[in-house]
Amino acid sequence: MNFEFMVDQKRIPVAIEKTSQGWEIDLGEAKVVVDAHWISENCVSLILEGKSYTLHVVPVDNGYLCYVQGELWSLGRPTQDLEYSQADQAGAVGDKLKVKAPMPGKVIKINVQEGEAVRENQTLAVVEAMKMENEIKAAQAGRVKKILVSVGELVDADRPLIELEEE
Amino acid sequence: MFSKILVANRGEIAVRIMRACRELGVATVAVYSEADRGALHVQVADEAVFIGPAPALESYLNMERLVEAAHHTGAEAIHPGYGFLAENPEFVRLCEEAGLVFIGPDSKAMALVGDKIRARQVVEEVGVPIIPGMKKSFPNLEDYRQAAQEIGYPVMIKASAGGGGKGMRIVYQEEDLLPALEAGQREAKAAFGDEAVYLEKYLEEPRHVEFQVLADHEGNIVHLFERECSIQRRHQKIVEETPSLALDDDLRFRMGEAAKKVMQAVGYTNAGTVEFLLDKDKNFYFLEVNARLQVEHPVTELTTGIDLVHQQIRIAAGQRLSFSQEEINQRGHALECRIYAEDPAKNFLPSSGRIIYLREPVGPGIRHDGGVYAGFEVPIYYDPILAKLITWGETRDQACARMKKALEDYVILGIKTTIPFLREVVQHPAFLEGKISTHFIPRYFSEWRPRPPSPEGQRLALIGAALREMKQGRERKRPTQLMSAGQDFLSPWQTLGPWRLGRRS
Repeated sequence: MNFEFMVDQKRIPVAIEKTSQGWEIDLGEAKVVVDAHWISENCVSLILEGKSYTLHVVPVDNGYLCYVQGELWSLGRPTQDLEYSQADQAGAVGDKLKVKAPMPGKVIKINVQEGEAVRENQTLAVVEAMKMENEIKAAQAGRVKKILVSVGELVDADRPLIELEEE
Repeated sequence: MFSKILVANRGEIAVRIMRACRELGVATVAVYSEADRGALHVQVADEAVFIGPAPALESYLNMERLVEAAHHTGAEAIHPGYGFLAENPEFVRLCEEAGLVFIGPDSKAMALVGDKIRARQVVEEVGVPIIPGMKKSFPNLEDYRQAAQEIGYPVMIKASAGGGGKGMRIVYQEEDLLPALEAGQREAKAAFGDEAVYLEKYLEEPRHVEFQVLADHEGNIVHLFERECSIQRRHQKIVEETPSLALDDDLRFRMGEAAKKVMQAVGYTNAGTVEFLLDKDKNFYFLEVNARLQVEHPVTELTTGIDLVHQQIRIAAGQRLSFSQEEINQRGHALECRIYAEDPAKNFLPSSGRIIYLREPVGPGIRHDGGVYAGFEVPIYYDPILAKLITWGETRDQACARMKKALEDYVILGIKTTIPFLREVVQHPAFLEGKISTHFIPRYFSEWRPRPPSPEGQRLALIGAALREMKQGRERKRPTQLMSAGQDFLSPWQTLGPWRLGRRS
């Protein structure tokens, strides 16, 4: 079987075959033979070149999360991931002017008004989550074009809060 | 002994308290908000009462509702845990008036130690040194400007009503004072329902050393040695340990005696902690009394062998302390790491959401106090603490080695946690040498970035994903799936719920 996974926006092909020795896996450089034993739904014990590893592999929306030796890897399925990353990059251009909530929380203060000029790093709003106040700052200088939320509102991560425009 | 206790809290501490109740044969009542119907503390309790909407002000801080819940279920006592109403004298008074036992000091002692300014006066009078600072909180922000000038910058803004870093700010210059005061007051109001703040001289490079005290209602008082809590970020403790490398037997004895003197002076009963700052020259200053069970209490339990929650409940039930100061010994070394739902790669932003996978470490000398499970949705409304990992060793080195290994074996997927950060903190050379102060994190970890992933890790991850894909394919052909992701690694404690052998209705 052949699969492709997206790792850091790179497409990596993986070929895997069941043999009498175990699983033969081709990652491009060299073939390896792996003895795999599933311990539970999402946890697999590997013996690879005589060494023993425990991997946690959990399916998520468009791929897998894999935890191995203290590292967390996200392995996406190519098609969806490409679209996602392209959209992400397109968004990055106007990103500095669109001020977003960095995490889910509650808007507890808006420090600016529409039409107001702001400095870089000026605090525009305060979002509270898990009892800590987080100041939302302007990534660049500009003018407040539109305020998109109101005080008391619950917001999700990446929800646009305030739109800035170049002076 | 009580027959039923209401636990007015959530998360890991509610679970830990209920465990102690069960061990003592006491039935438990959980309370929960709209956001917590699926929370672990609801599952482990014998009874559960819904107390209101998700925001804490309308649920876990709703005093009348809690008293009502206790009456309704027939609970005789309320354990407040830490945070929320744990140090609110008005709540203690309300319990007393309602004929409920509050597991903690009485309302008079609570009011005194909760008023950090009055507490400092009393402590000063009995000859325990204090840090220079304001003697009272002011209604007018302008007065703070003047007080700050008198104390001398840098100054620390602190909430009169509580700790945990909420409302706390360090101010280095006058321009920053007013905005910091406003933010401090807002945070204090949101966290404790009281916006009063005061100023204190900010000591450079201090160590934070606290003493655990137990006092019964017959005047017996003991301390259970110290905890060193110098590893802090944003004034929040993240790693704690005992014993402290900074103390020798003489200093330990003097600080322990001072801690008991403080608690006697304020008329304290039950379990409480006296916090000190220790400067570079080993002078100690009284900081405050924490009139509650502390987050970091397990390190004391592991080194003294005394269960502090059992003691709290016994004392509240009117029993006398069954041991004297001479009978309490410290054995070995214990460390605690707090596991927060925060993203260390993104300046520790809170990370709420669904935990899709959880594997807790186990092994000799490892204790895990958790409040979550795979499948649980971590709400945005409350403190981000998910769990605490505690290790014990014969020596500090062994406790550190066990902590390192336990953090490596700890898997939480779906939300970001502080585990990768903690892993590096407990391996840092300065930490291993014990060269720590409250400046440790700002000094060594302010520029911290997650380690770049290794090619080896990527190779293994790809192998894992390919194998999982093959397995998925095989399983699609089977008629039923045995388990879903969320059901992995349920512990018996979690799945069995509160049943008991031979229980009679």
